[in-house]
Amino acid sequence: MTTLPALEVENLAIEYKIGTEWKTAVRDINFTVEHGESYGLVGESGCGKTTIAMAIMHYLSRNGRVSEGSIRLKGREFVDLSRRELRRARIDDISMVYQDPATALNPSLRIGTQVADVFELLGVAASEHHRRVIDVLKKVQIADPARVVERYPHQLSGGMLQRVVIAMAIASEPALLVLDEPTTGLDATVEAEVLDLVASLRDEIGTSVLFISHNLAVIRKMCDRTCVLYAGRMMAEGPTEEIFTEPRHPYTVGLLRCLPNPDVGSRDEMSLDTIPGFLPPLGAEIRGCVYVDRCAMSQDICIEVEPGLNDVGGGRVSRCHFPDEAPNLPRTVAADPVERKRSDQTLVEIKGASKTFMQDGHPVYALSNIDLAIKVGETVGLVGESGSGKSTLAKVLLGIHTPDDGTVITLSGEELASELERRGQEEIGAVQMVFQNPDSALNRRHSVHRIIGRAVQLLRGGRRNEREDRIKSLLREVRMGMQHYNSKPRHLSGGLKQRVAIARAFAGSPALVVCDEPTSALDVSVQAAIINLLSELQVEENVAYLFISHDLNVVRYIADRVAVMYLGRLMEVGTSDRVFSGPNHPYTEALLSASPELADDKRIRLEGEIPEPSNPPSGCVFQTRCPRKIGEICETVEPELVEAEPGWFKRCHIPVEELRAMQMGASA
Amino acid sequence: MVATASRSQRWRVLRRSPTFWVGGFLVLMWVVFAVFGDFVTPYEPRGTPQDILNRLQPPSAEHWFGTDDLGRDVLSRVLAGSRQVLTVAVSATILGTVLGTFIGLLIGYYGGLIDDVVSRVLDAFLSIPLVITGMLALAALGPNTIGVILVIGLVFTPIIAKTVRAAVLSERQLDYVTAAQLRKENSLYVMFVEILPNVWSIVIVEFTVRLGYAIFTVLALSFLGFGVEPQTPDWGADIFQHYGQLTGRVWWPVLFPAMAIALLVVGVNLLADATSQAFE
Amino acid sequence: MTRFVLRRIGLALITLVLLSVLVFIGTQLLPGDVGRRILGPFATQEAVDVLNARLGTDRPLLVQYWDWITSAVTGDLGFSISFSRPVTELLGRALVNSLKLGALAFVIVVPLSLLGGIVAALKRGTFIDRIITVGGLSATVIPEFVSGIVLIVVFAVFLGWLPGFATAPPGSGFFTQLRHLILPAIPLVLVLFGYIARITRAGVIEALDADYTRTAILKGLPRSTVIRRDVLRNALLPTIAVIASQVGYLIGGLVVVEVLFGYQGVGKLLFDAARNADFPLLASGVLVVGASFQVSMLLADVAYSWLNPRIRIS
Repeated sequence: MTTLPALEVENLAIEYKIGTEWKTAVRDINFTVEHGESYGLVGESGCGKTTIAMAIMHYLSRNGRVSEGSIRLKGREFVDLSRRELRRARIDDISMVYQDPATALNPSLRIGTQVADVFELLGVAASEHHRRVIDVLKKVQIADPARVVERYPHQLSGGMLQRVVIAMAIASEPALLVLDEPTTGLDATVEAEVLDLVASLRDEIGTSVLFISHNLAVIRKMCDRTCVLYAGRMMAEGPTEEIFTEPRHPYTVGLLRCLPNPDVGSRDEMSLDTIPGFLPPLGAEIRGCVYVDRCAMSQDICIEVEPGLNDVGGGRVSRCHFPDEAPNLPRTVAADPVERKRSDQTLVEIKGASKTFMQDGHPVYALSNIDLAIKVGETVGLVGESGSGKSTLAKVLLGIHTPDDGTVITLSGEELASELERRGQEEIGAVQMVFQNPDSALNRRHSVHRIIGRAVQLLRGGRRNEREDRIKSLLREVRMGMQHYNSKPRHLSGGLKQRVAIARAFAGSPALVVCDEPTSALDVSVQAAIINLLSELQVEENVAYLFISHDLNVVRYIADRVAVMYLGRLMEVGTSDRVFSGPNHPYTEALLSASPELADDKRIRLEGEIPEPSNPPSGCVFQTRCPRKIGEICETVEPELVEAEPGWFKRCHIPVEELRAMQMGASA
Repeated sequence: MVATASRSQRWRVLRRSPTFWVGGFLVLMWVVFAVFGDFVTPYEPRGTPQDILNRLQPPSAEHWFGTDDLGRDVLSRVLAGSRQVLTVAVSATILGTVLGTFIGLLIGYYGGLIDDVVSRVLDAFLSIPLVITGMLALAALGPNTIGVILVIGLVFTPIIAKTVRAAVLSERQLDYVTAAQLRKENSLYVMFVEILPNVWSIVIVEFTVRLGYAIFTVLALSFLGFGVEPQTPDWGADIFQHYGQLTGRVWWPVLFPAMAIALLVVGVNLLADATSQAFE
Repeated sequence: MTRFVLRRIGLALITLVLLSVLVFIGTQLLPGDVGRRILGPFATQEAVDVLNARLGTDRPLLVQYWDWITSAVTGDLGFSISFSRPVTELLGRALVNSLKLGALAFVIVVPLSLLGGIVAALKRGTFIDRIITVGGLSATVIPEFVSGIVLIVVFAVFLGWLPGFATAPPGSGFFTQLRHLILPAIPLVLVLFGYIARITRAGVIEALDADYTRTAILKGLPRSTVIRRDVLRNALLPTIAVIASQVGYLIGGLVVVEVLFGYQGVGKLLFDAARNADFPLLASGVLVVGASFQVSMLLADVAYSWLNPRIRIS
C-alpha cells in the first residue's frame, strides 16, 4: 500500500506587496515530503524559507499572497480551503514549532490550560484532559509535569518552554510537523537535547517533519533530504548527506567553505573562503541565474539563461549550468593562512575577578574568582552558555562593570583602575570592544566617518588632517571603499556595519580587543569574511583578542587558547588543540558532544537545568548535572582550578588519567 | 533590512495623508489671521466707546457675526482672537518642550539617585491637574500674558520630561552608548550628540500633541477668567462673558468663538495625528 | 507581589509628601500677606498684624507647614476664609458631588472607549477604524466648555429636553439627579474617550500581531476564543493603568464643567477659592485633589500587578 506524501508543494510562487506593487519573493518551488520523512529547507536570511513555511501554514502576513501553485497536505489541496476545513486541518494534520518559545505562549495563561486546548480541540472528554496533558509532557521528557502544568510561561526556561511547544505540536500526532529555527535561541546543550527529542519523537510517532534553519550542521543532523534556497529559488535538492559531502551547486560549495570545521583546521593552517557580493533586492527581475553575480565560475550563458533543476545523479538536482564543475569552484580568498609571530609576553592579567550583582535584594554571583592571562597578540576564546559569566568578565575587563574588591587587572604590568572613569586615555584606547549586534553598536544617526572619526579624535588625537588620514586608513584596513564615507548605518549591510564597528575599535591602536559574539548576528557567508578580517588585523596590528562565542567551531578555528566557563567559574583552560582533542572537563565534554560537527556518535546528555547564578549549588557548581560525578566530594568540596598538565587547567576532582580513560578508552 | 525611515520617506508619508492637509490648512488659516489680523478685520476688535449703542445685534449684513454686549463686532473679535491663543499656546509649548527635553535627557542618562528624586518631584507635579495648577498660579499673578506662557510651559515640562526620559532609557541600552563610554566620551556629548538625535522624532510628536493640549488649557483658563487682560480679544473669555445670555436666545457671541475654537483644535489635532503616523 | 505593592505604596507616600510641600510653597509664593488680603488695602497695619497673629501666618514657615500637615492628617483642614466654614465640611460635600458626576462620566466612557478601541483594532485600516480614531482624537481636544455650551444651547435652550444646570433641587430622587447630571457628563466623556480608545487600540493591535496569537490560531482554535483569551486578555491589562491616569484630566475637566453648569463640586470650590484668594481652602483642596489622583493611580497599579501573572508570581 502506498501512503500519500505528507506534503506536496508544486510550482509555488509567493508575492509581497511593497508600497503599491506586488513583488515576487519566492518562485518555482517544488518539493515533496514523503510520509515519515524529515525534509530540510536551508538558506541564509532573505532566501524565503520562512515565507514558504508561512504559506504552508496558511499564515502569510497581510501583505503576502500565494500567486501561483498548489500545496497539498496528505493529497488534499490546501491553498483554498474554507475556514472550517482550515481549522480542522490545523487541529488534526499540521502543527508548528516556532523560533522563540518565550513569545509563542500566552503569558497570562497557565501551561496546563494551553496544552489542554489541543485535547479539547481533538474532542477528548474534559475529564481526560489532565491525564493526557501530563502524558504528553512526560513524552517530551519534562521531569515534573504536575508542577509545570501549574506554572506560567515566564517561570520556565527557554528549553523547557520549547518542550512544551513541541508537546502541543505532537499531541495531535499530526501528519506534518513544521519546525522553524526551533533551537536558534537556545544554549548548545539544550539545543542538542531538543533536537534529540524531535528525532526520537519522529521515530515514535512516525510524523513527517519539515525543518527550516540557517544552520547547516543542524540540518545535516536532522534531515533525510534537504533543499538549499537562495533568493527565493531552489538551488539544490537531494539526500542530505550527498548534498553536503558531494555538493553540485556553487552556492552550496561556497557555503560549506565558509564554515570553520575540523577538516579546515585552524586559522594558522587555512583561511576561510567567502562568498562575495550581496543578495539581489526583493522582486528583482533577473533574466539568467539568480546567483550569477556572486558565482566565481559564472559564464555568459549564466547571465542569459536561467538554469533548470538538472538531475545530477544520486537523487540530487541542481539549478546550475555546470553542476559537475561546482566542487572545483575557484576560491575567492587565497587558502594560505597569514603568517603569525607568536609572543610569550603577558599583556593582560586578571586575578581573582569576582562580580556580585544585587537583584531585588538578592546577590547574584556572576563571577567567582577568575584568573586568566592573555599574551600579546594571542586569541583567547571564551566559551560558555547563559549564566556562565563570559559577558560579565568582558565588561569587568573593559571597566564597564566594577568588580568586587580583591580583583586585580593588570595591563602590560601596570594595574588597571577598575572603573572606566578612572582609567587614563591611553589605557582606554588600549582595550576596546566589538559588539554582537552591529545595528545596536552604531548610532543610526551618525555617518560612517563621524562614527570612526570621533573615536579617532578621542583615542588618538592629532590635528584635523591627521585624523582624516587615520579614518581613511582604518577604512582601508577593514577593506571598505571610500564610497561609504558619508553613509549612515541604515544604508549598509550587516557585514559592512560590523566592519565599521571594527574600524572604530581599532581607532586607537588597541593592544586588546574584546570580541563579544561578533559574528552571531551575521549570515554564514558574511561570518567568514569577518573572521578572516579579524584574523588579518590581528597580525597587522599585533593585537590580542578575547573572543567570546557560543559557536565552538569558530572558537576552534580562531583561538590559540580556550577558556570554558560555567556559572561564573573557569572549568577548563588550555590551548585550542589540547581542549578540542581531549580529555576534557566533564562540562566541556558535554559541550563538545552537543555540537553536531564536533561530536562523535555518542552524545553526553546533561540532566536538569543550568542553575541560577543567585543560588549556586554547593561544592562543585557543575555537580547537579555532571554525568561523571564521582561522589560526595563533588557535592561538598569545590575543586580548585589546577594545572593538571603543562598549560592545561581543570576544575574537577577527577584526575586527568581517569578522565582520559573514561572519555577516550573503550566506550563499548 | 532597513529598519528606520529616512527624512524623505517621512515626508512622503505626510504628503499622502489627508489628515495632514486638512489639519495643516485649518492651522495655517488661523496662523494667517493671527499674524495679519489687524489688516483683515472689518472693525476694531477692541471696540470704540460708541459701539455700546449697537450692542447685541444679531448677525446682519454689516456685522456678519453680530455684535457682543459691548457692541463690538463679533467677527473681528473672532479673527483677532486667534492671535492670543496661538501666541500663548505655541510659546508655552516650546518652553515646555525645551525644558522637558533637557530634564528628560539628564535624568534618563544619569539614572540612579538623580532619576529617582527628580521623577518623584515630577510625579508630584503631575498629581495636580493642569487646569488647577494654572488656576492657582494665575490667581496669584493676575491677568498677565507672559505669566500664562510661563505657567503653562512649566506645567507641561513634567509630562514631556517623562516621555523623553522613557525614550532615553531605551536608547541607553543600545551598544553605541556603551561604545561612547568606552572612549571616555564626555557626558554632554553622549546626551546631546549621540542620544538626542535618536529621540528627536519622539520630541517632535510630543510637541504637536502638547500643542493641542496647550490650546485647550489656555482656553479653559481664559474661560474661567484667569490670565487675560481685559479688552483683549480672546475666545475663551468672550464665551465666558456671554454664556449667561444664552437663556435670552442670544447665541451668536457664544457660538462663533466656539466654532473657531473647534476648528483650530481639530486642525492642530489632525496635524499631530498625521505627524505621529509619519514618525512611527 | 507584596514587595511590589509595598514599594508602590512607599513611592506614593513620598510623592504625597512632596506634593504637600509643593502646594505649601505655592501658596506662600502668592504675593501679599494673608491678613492684608482679607482686610483689604484700607485697613490699618495694626489690624492686619493682629489678624495675622490670630491666623498664625506670622510664624516661621516650617512651623506653619508642620501644623498644616499634622492637622490635615487628623482631618482638620483649616477654616475657609471666603465661606466661613471648616474646610473639611466644604470639601466633604463637594467631593461627594464631584464623585457622582465623575462616576457617571466614567461609567459611560470606560465601556464606550474600550469597545471603540477594540473595534478600531479589529477593523484596522478600514473606514470605521479611521472614524473612531480620528473622531475620538478630535473630540478629545475640544475644550469642555465648548462642547458644554453647544450641548446647553441645543438640548436645554432650544430643545428643552434636559436641564441646563447640574444641581437638582434638594431632596430629589436618584433619577432626577441623574437627569441633571447627563449634560455635564457628556463633555467629560468626549474628552476622555479619544485617548483611552487610542491606547486600547494600540494594545489590541500589538496582541493581534503577537507570536502567542499566531500560536493559538495555528493550533486551530476558533477566532472568537483567540480574541477573547489571547488578544483581549493580554491587551486590556495595560489599559487599566491608562484609565487611571485619565483621572487627572477628569478632575481638571470637572473645574470647567462644574463652573459652566453651576454644580457645587470640588472643581467649582477650587475655582471660587482661587478667585477669592482663600488660601486655607485652596491649599487643602489642591492637596486632597492631588491625593485622590495618587490613590487612584495606586489602586490601578495594585490591580494591574494582581492581574498580571508576571508580577503576581515571582
